[in-house]
Amino acid sequence: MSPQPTSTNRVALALEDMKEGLCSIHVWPMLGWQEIKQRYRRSALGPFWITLSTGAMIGAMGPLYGKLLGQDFGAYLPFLGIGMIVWMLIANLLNESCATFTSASGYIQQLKLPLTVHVLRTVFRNLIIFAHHLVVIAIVLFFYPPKLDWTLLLMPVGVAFIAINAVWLGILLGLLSARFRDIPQFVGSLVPLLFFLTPVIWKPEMLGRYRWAADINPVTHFLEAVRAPLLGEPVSWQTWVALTATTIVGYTVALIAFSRFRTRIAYWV
Amino acid sequence: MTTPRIKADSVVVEFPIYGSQSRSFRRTFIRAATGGRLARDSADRVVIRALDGVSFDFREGDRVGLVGHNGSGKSTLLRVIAGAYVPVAGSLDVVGRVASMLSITLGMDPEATGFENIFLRGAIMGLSPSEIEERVDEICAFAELGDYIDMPLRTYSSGMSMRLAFAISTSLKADIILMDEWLSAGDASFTAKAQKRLLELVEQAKILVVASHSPETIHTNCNRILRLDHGSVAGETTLVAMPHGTGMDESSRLAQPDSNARERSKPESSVPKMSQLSLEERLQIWTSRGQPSYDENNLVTWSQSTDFLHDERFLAAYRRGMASGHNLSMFAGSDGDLRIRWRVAMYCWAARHAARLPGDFVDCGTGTGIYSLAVCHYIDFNATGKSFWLFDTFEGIPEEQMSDDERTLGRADENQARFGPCYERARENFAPYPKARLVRGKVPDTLATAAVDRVCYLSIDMNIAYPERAALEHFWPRLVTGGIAILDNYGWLPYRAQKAALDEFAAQNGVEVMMLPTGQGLLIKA
Repeated sequence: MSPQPTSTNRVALALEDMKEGLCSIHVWPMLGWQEIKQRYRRSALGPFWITLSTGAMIGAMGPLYGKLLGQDFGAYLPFLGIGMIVWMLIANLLNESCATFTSASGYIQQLKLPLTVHVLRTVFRNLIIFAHHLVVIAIVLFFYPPKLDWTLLLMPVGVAFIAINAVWLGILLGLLSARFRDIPQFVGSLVPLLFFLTPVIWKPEMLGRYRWAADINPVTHFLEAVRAPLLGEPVSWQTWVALTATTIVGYTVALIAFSRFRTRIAYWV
Repeated sequence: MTTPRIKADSVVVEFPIYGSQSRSFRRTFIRAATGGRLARDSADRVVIRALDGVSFDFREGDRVGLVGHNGSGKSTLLRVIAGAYVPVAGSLDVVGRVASMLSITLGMDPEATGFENIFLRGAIMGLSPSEIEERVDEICAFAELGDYIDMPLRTYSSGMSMRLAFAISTSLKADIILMDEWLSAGDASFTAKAQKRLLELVEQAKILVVASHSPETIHTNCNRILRLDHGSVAGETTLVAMPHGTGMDESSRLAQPDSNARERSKPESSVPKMSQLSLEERLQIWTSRGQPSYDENNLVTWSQSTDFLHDERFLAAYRRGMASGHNLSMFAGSDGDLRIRWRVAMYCWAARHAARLPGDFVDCGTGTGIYSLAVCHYIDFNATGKSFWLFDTFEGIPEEQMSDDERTLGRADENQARFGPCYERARENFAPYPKARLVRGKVPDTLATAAVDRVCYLSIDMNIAYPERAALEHFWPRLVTGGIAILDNYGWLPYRAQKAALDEFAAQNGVEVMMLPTGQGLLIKA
């Protein structure tokens, strides 16, 4: 370890951290599972409580917003249901990314674990909870089956994009939140706003000539990449471009920040 | 294979303090009573400099003890070595597998079962599931949890969870072991077993770094002491020659003062040999131990229990003895306390023991009654129904009984300065004890005048050899079985004539005087 690492050296060390973190496959899945178990220990339904409440919310909102927006009920309910579930995954990732490092201060200040482990733990945990919620989607699709074709296979690709992007998001938000404790509050207030700006309850085409307002929102594309295949709709090429671009830009920014401040995180948390 | 090593070169660790937009912090170093130095970094933020240019080179065989008061940087240094904190300046090289025992419960979940916790904690320690699988039976057996291993950790007693945490954390062999205070676990019966296991682990490790406030820990387990103060190395001591390299390295500034030190110490030995150290080094070790538990009358200890110092009954008796109106204080303005608590405690113990035996109490060399008053008060002498025979000239040491040697060693001066007529004072002091009998005159002349047949307690403190030996010769045959004799000046070098005379008597009678650390001699009649 040289006293003043060069910038290339720093990037290499940051990448090493990410690689080592990813390779610690017996650490982060276990920590993620443990957190879920901790949260729902001795609760009979466990994570399915959120599934239930989400299901109930969709059941109530579906007819209401379907009516308000003049939508065909059979088409709207799957749209809303899937949208809500995917949105919850994204919203939780946004919120919980902020606590990625601060909530692991005990580990960070005492152990030499790759910091990426804590990011992966957060992502893994949310994917597990998302998997529970797939039950709601399954029920909705059972009653209102879409035309199923090969596009369904793109759904895991969409989820993978969310997971991959959640990693850089976790690094960046976790790092910023460790240093600036206003960030979690800021993100916490931004997420509900984002909910209304993202086509979860409304459809982008309802905006007519203002559709671009939905398209410039990256969250729209993450949502689309999972929702459209489940509804049997094609995923537009713009969405894939947007996701790829977001991934590249996100990792670049996160890697710059992580390289520069990785060793400071232990002092901040 | 690379050799384990920890090399630090001017390591600096600074904790930024956010949210204290401090008006009061000037552009200067502020030296706090404890803790790291407060400073400002280049960006003008307030920082705590927890480590300030720490350099060292720990190599194979080093057993390093980190000492220093709270906030001196010991724990921070351990965390830096563990790899949690990266120094803001300087460099640190750690070669070898590190087992960090800084927090052995880290990663354990109270809601998870003991069994699950073995896997949780194991993963945190860097073990793969298969590696944990290999150890799990051994850990369960060692922790002695029985069927509890399948119960949630929250149902455990604190001793049980410590046992489990200890068993897991000590199951991993490593090149470098880091500990913040020596680990201990569980109840008394488990402790011995746990210590054995920990010592075995430490034994096989190449480097040990332990931070501790306990002198025993440091001196039992370490061969190097690194003293931190305000985040800097305030001193480094090497206790024995290192097994590696040339034996000594340049960083041990105070190590082995002379060149043949290495030949005197055996490299394979890891036990520090205090006798080989210079006075300066010893002073440093003593200082590192903090407050002694006892420091009076040429007797200093840091580790021994001194419970009697908190025994109110003893202290009251002690105060009574000190208030006897003696003239022995060396310093003007003294409160009369001679600071000889441990010596007095020996008499009190002997008296309590003797009170249950047949026979009387005898004190040769009573003076104003410093010891015997304390004894009477301590055992409530009137309740024993015994007589207390108190022999003394009550006017100092008879000059004609002194040998030339004793005169040279200062007995005559002592007589002049400290012993004057005190008969009246002694009579007054012992007035509450009707069966305390003062026998005034020179020992041994007076011994025959007193009708003492059986003695259970004999105190001899006449500061010269001739009457002391005569008194012991007179009373030894009269001492009952189990009776105790305490020879006050026995082990004190300026009174060596007495030791020679008393040893001679003892040898003739087939006994040996027990030399107490207080300088007193002890005989028990068989």
